Amino acid sequence: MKSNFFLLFFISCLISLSSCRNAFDTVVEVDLPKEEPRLVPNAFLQPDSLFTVEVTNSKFVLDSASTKPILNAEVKVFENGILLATLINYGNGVYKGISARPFEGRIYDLTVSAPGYPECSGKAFIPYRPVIKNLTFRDSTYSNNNTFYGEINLKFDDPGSENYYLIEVVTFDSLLETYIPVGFLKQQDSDIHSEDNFTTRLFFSDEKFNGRTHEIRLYLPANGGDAFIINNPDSIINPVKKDYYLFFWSVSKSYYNYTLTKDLQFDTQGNPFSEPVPVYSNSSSKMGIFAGKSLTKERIVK
Amino acid sequence: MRFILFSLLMLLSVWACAQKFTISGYVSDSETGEKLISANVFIPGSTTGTTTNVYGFYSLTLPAGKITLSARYIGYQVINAEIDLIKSQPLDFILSASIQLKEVEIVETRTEKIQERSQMSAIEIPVSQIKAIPAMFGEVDVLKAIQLLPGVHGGSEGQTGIYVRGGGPDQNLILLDGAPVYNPSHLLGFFSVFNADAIKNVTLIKGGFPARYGGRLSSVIDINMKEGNTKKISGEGSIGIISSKLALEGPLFSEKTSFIISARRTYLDILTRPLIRASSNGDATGGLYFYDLNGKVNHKFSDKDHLYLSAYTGKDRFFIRTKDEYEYNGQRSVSKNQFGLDWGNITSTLRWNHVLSNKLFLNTSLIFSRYQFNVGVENSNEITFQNTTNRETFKLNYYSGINDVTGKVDFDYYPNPNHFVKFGGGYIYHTFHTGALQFKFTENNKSTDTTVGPRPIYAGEYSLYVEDDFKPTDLVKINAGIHSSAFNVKKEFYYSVQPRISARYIFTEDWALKASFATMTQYIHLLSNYGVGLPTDLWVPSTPSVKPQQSWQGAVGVARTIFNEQYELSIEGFYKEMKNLIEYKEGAGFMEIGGDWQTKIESGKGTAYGSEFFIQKKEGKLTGWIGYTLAWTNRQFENLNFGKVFPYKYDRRHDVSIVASYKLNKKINVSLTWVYGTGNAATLELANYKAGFDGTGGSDFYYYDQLNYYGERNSFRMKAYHRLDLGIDFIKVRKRWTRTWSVGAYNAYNRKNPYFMYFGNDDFGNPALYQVSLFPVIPSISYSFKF
Repeated sequence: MKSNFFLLFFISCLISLSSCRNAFDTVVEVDLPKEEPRLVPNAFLQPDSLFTVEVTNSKFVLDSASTKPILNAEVKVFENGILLATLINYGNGVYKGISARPFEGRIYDLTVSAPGYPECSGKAFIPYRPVIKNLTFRDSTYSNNNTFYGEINLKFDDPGSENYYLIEVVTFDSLLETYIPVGFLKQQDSDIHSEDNFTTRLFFSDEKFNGRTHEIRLYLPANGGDAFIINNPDSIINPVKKDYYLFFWSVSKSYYNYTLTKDLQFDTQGNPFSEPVPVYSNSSSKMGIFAGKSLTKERIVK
Repeated sequence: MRFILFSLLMLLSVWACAQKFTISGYVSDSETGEKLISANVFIPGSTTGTTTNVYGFYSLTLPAGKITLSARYIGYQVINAEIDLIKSQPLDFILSASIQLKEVEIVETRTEKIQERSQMSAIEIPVSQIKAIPAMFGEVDVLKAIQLLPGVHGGSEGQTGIYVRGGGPDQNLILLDGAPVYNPSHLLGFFSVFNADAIKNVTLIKGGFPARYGGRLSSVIDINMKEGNTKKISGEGSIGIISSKLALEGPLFSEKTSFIISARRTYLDILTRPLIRASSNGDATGGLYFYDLNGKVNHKFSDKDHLYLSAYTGKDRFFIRTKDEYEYNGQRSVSKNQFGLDWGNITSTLRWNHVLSNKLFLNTSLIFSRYQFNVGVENSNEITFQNTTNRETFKLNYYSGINDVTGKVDFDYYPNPNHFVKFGGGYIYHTFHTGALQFKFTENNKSTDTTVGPRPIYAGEYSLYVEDDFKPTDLVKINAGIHSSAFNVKKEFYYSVQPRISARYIFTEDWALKASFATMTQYIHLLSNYGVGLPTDLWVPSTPSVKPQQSWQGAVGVARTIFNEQYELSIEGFYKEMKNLIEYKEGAGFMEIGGDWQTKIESGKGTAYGSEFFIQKKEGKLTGWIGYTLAWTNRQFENLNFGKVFPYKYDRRHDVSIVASYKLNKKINVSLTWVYGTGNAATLELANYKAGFDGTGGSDFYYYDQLNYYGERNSFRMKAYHRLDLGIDFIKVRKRWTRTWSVGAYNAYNRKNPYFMYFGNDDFGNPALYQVSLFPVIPSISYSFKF
C-alpha cells in the first residue's frame, strides 16, 4: 500500500512537471559575446599597377546592418620602414596610390587606420613573374569517356624557393571589356596537388619540383565551351574567332592560402555536413588579405 | 656412514618442507552456475592469493601442509576450505549471493582491495549497479553508465559516444565476449547495443593497459556475456515506453550445457505506422526501429575442456515508402518510391577453454565481427496504356562497413602465488568497405548495373603479447609486459613494440601509490564528421599514406579503501600524447562520395592531461560513486586552424558525476544521477566581412561576397551541461517470480542543455543565435519481471 502511494505520487509529480508551460520548448535564444567591428583590408598588389587597397569593415554576426566601405581610412605603404605612399580614397572604400607601384621581389608593409576602429597592418610580398620556356597547343589529343580535350603544354623554370602559381586560360570579352576564363581546366600531373578538378583556375605549389624546370599538360574540353573554337574555328556553333591567352601568375603564399580557403568557404557555406572553413588572413585584424602576384601572359597559338 | 644417512634425512625433510602443490579450479555462483570473474582466492591473514580469470579459473601453488583457503567475490558470502595439501588437487568454490542472507547488509564481501591491485585506471561496474542507474526512457544502458565515470566524456546530449582521456570515438576497444563491436550505437547514438540482461561483467580500462590488450589508443571496454544458468530455467524481461525485452537462460539436457538468449526491440515504428498511413491516405508508410539478439551456448566436456559459442546481432532501420497512382486518358501510372537506411553489427565468438595443466590454462578463440551501413533509394514506375505495360526500376545503394575474422590463443600461467603470467597471440583479417555506390536500372526485364567507388581494402593485423603480474615484495606489485603488433596493408608493413608497465607500492597500511606507462598503436581509423556515432562514420585502415595512430600515456595516483573498507577511493593524474590522428579536411565530408577518402583527410597530433577523483561504493544499502575530472585536451593539425593548437571538440575542463542508489526497504529502491560538465567546444561564426576579389578566374562574378569569420577553431564554449535523473523501483516478490515497476525522470529539473546551435531570425527579423536542446524532462515507466 505504502509503495503504491509512492508510485502514484512520483507519477503525479512527473505529469505536473511535464505539463509546465514551456517544459518542452527545446529551442532557446542565447547570447553571443559581441565581436566589435574591425577593418578589413583587401589588397592584391601586382607590378605595373598602382598600389590598391579596398577597405571595408566587419560586422558582428548578430548585427542587422551590413558591412560597408570605409571612406575615411588612412592607408599607408612602407618599404623597409620608409613611407612609400599614402593612398588616396577613390570612393567606395578603394584606396590607390598616385604614382607609386609595387616591384617584383619586394615586401611592402601596409597600415590601415580609421576613426572608431583598431588599426590593422600586414605585409604583402610581390613574387617574381614566372618564366615560360615553352608553350604549345594541340587539338583533341586526350579522350576521356568520349569527351575530347585540347592540350596545352607549358614548360617553365621554377626558382629555388617556395613558389605558388595560378594558371588561367582566358579570352577578351569586348562587351564586358575584361578577360574572362574559358572552360574548366583539367590536369593529370602527379607533381601538382590541384585543389579542385573543376575550376577555371589551376592553383599549385612547387612543392614537388622546387628549383627545376617543370612541364605541365593542361586540358580544355574540346566539345563544349569556348575551347571548341580552338579546335574548329569555323564551327557554326560559335563562328567568332577569338584570341586566347594563357595567364600564368606567380602568387604570394598569402594569396594562395586566402584564395583557396575563401573559395572553399563559398563552396561549403550552408552545407551542414562539412566542417566550417576559416579563411586565411595575414592582416592583424584577422580578416582581409595583403597579397601579391605577378603575371606572365602568353597568347595561345595553334 | 651415520653422518651420510643423517645428511640424507635432513635433505629429505627440507625437500618435504619445500615441496609445493597446486590447487586449481573454478569459482562459480551457487544459484546459476555462472563462473565468477576476478574472484579472490587467498589464504586468510596473509598476502598470498590469486584471482580468477575471465573464465572463473584460478590456480594457486602453495607449500605442502594444512591450509585454509578462502574464496570471495563482491556481493557473495566468503567460503573457507580446510585443506591438507599433500598433493596437487582440483578445488572448485561455489559461492552464494549475499542477497540470500537474511541480513541485507554484507559483512565481508570484498574482492581484492583497490590498493592491492597493480592495475590502475580501471573500473569495474557491477551489472546490478548499471541496472539501478536511472535511464532515459527507462532503457538501461551500459555505455551511458560508463559515461558517468571520471575521464569519460559522452559527446553530445543523449549520445552513447565514449571519449576517454581526450581520445576519439574510434580509440575504444569495445569487446563483447572478445569480439570487437565497431558501432555500439542504436537510434543514431541514443542507445547502446548492449542489452544489460545478457551481460555478466563490464570493465573499463583507461590507462596502464595490460599487454594482453592492443589495437586501440584510449580505452578497453571489456564486456562479457552471461553463460546461462546451469541449474534451472530462468528469465527476465521488461516492457517499457519504447522497447521491450526478454532473456531466457537455463540448462540444456544436463548441467554440462547451458544457454542464454535475449532479445530486444523498439516499437515506436509499429505505433506510428497507422498514423502515417492515415495521414497520407494509405500512400505512405515509414518507421525507425532497432533490434538486438544475444545468444550464448556453452558446454563442459570435462573438467579440462569447455566450449562457448556466443553471438550478437543487431540492426537499426529507417525507411519511408510512398506510392502514387493515377489514371489519365486511359493511361494508368503507378509510381513507388522507397528510401531506406540501415546499419548494424554482427559478432560471434567460438571459444575453447582447455586446462593444459593445473598451472596452465589455454583459451582459443575464433571471432567474427561485422559492421555494415547501407543507404538505398528505389524508384519504380509502371505505365499501362492499351494493354501494354512499361516497367522501369531504378535502384541506388551506398554501403560501407568493416568485417573482421580473428583467430587467437591466450595462455594463463600460474607458476607460483607471486606470478601470474599471461601470453598469447592473434591474427585479424580485416576487410574494409570504404564506401561504394551501386546503381541498377531495369526496363522491361532488361537491366544494367554498375558499382562505383573504392574497392574493398584487405589487411592483416598480427599481435603477440606477454605480461606478468608479479609481487617482488609484499609492498610492491608490478604488471609488466610487451605487446607487439604488425599490420599488413597494400604491400605496406607496419609494426610496433609496445612496452607496458603498471605498479603499486603500499606506503602505509591502507594507501597505495600507483604508477603506469603504456604505449599503444592503432592501425584503424574512424572518419567521422561529427564524432557522435553516426552510421555514416567510415572505418578505414592505415595505408601507405595514412600512418597508424600511436600514443603513450603515463599516470600516477593513489588508491585506498576507506570507511571500514566500504568505499574505494582513487586519485590519478595522467598525461597522454597521440600522433597520426586523422580528421576530415576543412570543407570535406562523407557526402562527397567521389574521390579517394585518403585525399579528404588531414593528419595531426593530440595531447590530453588532467586528474581524476573517484570514490565508489559497490555494496550495501547505498551504492554508487562520485567522480570528478579536471582535464585539458588539444589537437594540432598542419592544415587545420592554420597549424595552430586548438581544443578538441570534447575538451571538458570540469566534469562531475554523482550516482547513487539506495535500498529503502525490500520493496523500494531509489536512485539518482547528477552530472555536470563544462560546455562543449564549437566553431561558431562570429562576424561577417567582405571578400576580396582580384578578377582572376571570373571571381568578380560571385553574386555573394560575404565571408564568415569563425575565430579560432573550437574557440566558442556552449553552456555548461548538467542534468538530474531520478528513478524509483517498486519491487514485489511473488512466489515464483519478482516484478518491478520502475518509474523515472530523465533531466528531472528540465535543464535545457545545448545540443547544437544555429543562426536564425527573431520575431522582429533580427539575427539571433539559438540553442537547441534535445531532451526536456522525460518521464519513463517500465514493468520488468524475473523468474
